[in-house]
Amino acid sequence: MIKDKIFAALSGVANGLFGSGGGLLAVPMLKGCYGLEARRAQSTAPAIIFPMCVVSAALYMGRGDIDWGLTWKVTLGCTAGAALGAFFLGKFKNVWLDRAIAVAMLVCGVRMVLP
Amino acid sequence: MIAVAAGALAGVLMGMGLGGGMLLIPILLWMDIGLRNAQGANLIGFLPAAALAVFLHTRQKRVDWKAVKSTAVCGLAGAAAGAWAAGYIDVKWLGRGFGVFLILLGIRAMVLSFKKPGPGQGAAGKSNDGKATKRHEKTRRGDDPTA
Repeated sequence: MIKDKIFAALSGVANGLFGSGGGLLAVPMLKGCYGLEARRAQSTAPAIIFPMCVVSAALYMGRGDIDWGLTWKVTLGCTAGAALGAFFLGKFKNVWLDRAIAVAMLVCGVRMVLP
Repeated sequence: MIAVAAGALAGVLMGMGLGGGMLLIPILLWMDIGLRNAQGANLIGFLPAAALAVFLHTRQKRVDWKAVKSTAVCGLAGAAAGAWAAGYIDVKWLGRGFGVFLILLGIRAMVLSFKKPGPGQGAAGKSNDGKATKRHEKTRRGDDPTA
């Protein structure tokens, strides 16, 4: 199967190029190419993304693009937040929350594109 | 403190599988953090959360390791290529590229939010009670049949 390899590569490129977004490509790839149901795909995605982040982070570190004063604070928040979020994974599904996040992405995206 | 809060928000959304982790970078940009520093912080900030997620999901037998192994090489190659390229692309265009990426994913997320999900629906659109669809079904040792 070649499709999964292509999507995995694209997921990796997004992860390395933008520092984010690899998971959002990995989950549909897992659903589409491996037939995983949503919860299993979301549970598998971190195992795919984690090594990508290690590789990407190593390259960013090598270039001196890591502000450690900022990064430890973000890491602290992320870790605590993710532990809390994982507890709620699959426990409730609110379509309005999904739409709010989609709108936030659109607004942020437009702001970043405009000069 | 704002950096911690921003990380926490992104972490919660990531942990819930809602994909909002991508919003961390724009938030950091609004704090006048440089784009590459924001990207680096996001990458490293995600590592402990991802490791914890992998550990917890593995314990609950929710990780499809066959898919992970099958895609590892290409994923890592893509990540290395992307991270390498990020160092050579002008920050202005890198930011715009990320913006376009966010817009596309935002549109996709909005469209998907209007689609009615079936219970445990897989890729074939058929209810599969959490099991892989037949075209991908092979004997899988160690998989939790109830996952």
